[in-house]
Amino acid sequence: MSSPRPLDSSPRPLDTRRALALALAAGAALALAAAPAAGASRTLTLEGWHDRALAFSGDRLVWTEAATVRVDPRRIAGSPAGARRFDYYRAETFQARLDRRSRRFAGPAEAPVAVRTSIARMGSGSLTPTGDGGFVTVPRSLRFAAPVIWCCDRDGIESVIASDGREGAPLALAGFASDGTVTYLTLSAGVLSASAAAAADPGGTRRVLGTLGAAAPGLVGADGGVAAWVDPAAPTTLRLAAVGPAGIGPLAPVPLPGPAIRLWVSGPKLTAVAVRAGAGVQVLRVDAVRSSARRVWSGRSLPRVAVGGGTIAIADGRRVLASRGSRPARRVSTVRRRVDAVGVDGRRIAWVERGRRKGARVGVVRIGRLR
Amino acid sequence: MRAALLALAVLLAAAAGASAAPIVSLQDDDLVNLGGPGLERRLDALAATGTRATRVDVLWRQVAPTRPRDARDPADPAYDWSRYDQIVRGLAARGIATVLDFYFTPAWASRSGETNAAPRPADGARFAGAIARRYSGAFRDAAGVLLPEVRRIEIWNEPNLPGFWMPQCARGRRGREALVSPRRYAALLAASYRQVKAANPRAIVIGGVAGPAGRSPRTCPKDGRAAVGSLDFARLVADEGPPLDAWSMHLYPIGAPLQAFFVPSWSTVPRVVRQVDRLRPGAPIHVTETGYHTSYNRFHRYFVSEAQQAAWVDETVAAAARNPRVGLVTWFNFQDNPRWTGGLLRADGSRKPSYDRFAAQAAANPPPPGWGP
Repeated sequence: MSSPRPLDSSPRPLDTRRALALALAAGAALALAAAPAAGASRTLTLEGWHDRALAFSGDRLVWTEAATVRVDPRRIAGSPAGARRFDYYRAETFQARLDRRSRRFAGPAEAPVAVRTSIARMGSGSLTPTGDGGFVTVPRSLRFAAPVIWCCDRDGIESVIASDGREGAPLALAGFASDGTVTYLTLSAGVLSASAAAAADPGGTRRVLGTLGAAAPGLVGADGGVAAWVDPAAPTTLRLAAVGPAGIGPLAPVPLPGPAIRLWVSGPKLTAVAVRAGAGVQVLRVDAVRSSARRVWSGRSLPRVAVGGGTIAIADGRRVLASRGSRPARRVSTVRRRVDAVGVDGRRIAWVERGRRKGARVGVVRIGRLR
Repeated sequence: MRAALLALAVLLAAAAGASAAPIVSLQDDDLVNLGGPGLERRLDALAATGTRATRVDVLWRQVAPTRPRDARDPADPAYDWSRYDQIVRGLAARGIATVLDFYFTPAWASRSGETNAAPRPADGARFAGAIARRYSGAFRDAAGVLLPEVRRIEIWNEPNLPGFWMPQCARGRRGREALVSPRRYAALLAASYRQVKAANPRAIVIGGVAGPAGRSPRTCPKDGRAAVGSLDFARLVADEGPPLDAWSMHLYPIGAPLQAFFVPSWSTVPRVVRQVDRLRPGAPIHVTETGYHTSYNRFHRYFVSEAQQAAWVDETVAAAARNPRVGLVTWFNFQDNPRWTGGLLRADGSRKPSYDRFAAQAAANPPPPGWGP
């Protein structure tokens, strides 16, 4: 047996390494976040037309941005001779504080989460707000197990709920937080499972809650104690289950009018599903209690969709729409350029509109109110 | 004439170094958390990788929780070396050469009370001298048993980063801002050099130990908490001219070892060499930490696949071998833990593919006979 560890009561060397890495990471995050325009502005300008997921959480707008970073020595001063271009991949989640009326950005964007890898491209994936400014983010990757990250503790530090580097590790797809616990869904060999861990101490309390059933990436969502998924072998049926620290409780399946292509979950009461309908697409609001689905929008191709606060927000080209209750989506705004991402929480809506500044691609974030 | 001689010395040193491949070593930072049979098992596991060189962090606060009356005397009753004696003996018994670095300022030597407070150079140097004396090969422990010699003493760990050294910068009179850590570190290095050499003239003093930071801050935060870029750090330390025998730095590149070119990475080592040559022409450059993480952790956000990590063990050695001044490459760390996922072993103890690649590289690149243990 090993002798008592005298360092247990004082910071271990790893703690100091942690501090340094943290400082570096925070510095890097702030440096990256420096790009968006800061403070007291109606809009926020972001670099590039990247894949983004957007949500409101308390007094903050949060978004995950996924992109390929092309490291080109010709564009970096002081690059050594003979250096060659290479790529790596990032998925970063930003926060920007809003003013009291949520009409303006009250501070600069900061990136408490910055996932960087050389393995493969990531997508913005699942971003579930916690309502207090925080979120649970799961970048999307089909090639490796992307991490599940909860943000943040009092010091603004994120907690890594799951990050499995083994080849063939289960793919993390979605997660949400409630009562200090993060519940997340993983897919292994086509089978969806739910696990839970304490947000503040993920290493100490992680446990598998159970198996949900067959599923595929893109057709999985979870929030507010509900998991939703579609079995690729039965694409016209939405499956729902109550998931939480107490375990799993299956709910009645919901028949869909066509094969599902994407789904979104917000809280226990709101699930939206996009289905194929002939040559087009429909977005449906699912009523889990009545086991029914009602169409709120239809169009030719899959729009950008977000759910929150009982509302479904849809960005279809240059049009931004919202659907509350069982009503069809109504126009909120028609903007000058294509909208790449949308977020909603019932009374507020935000979107990222494509733009150009000095010839470079930018995303312009705008905030609106729903009446 | 002086410049020509300097260039000649550098060329000769480079030519001499070119014949030697870098030594491949491995650090296990859990060693200092273990004791008794657990430590012996861990040392066996480390030796089983085939590494014949390692680096051990001596935690000053742990060894000297109270101020010694004679800090240069390793037999001072305020010192508790028991853990390190067992580690150093265990490593020597297994034929593993050791580099000892030290940091973690004790409360009595810390202005702020924090472990990362920059020490008074005299205090830090006396401790460096005590380490060198205790492990000079001529010192007997309380039981009268001779302790092994450790010839390589690295002065501090990552003094350019706020996690290990504070403050990094300061605002002076008239609001002038300055990077203060290089100068204060240079003072510690100079004082330590004298103390170490006095304790063991054969000892080799390694300075720098610069952590992986790219750019220095343009403005100094009020609390002085910033990171000084490792190139700037080398330049500013060189401006102070402290004596040293070797320079060390830490590299955690974004991108493959042969591709990466952000500062600091393998391709930017020659820029460090130019600064080190101002201090001691031809001095070796030791990379006393490098590696790649295989999953995301909040303390190190860039990661690669296990297959990439394995391939990049080989590529790391290849990148190091491109620069004949690089004398030592230390992979950090032996095993994953929730805070650091760059190990050769996973947290559950199973081997990653990198384990075998490291073992092959360690076998192919052992220390030369003069290195010890």
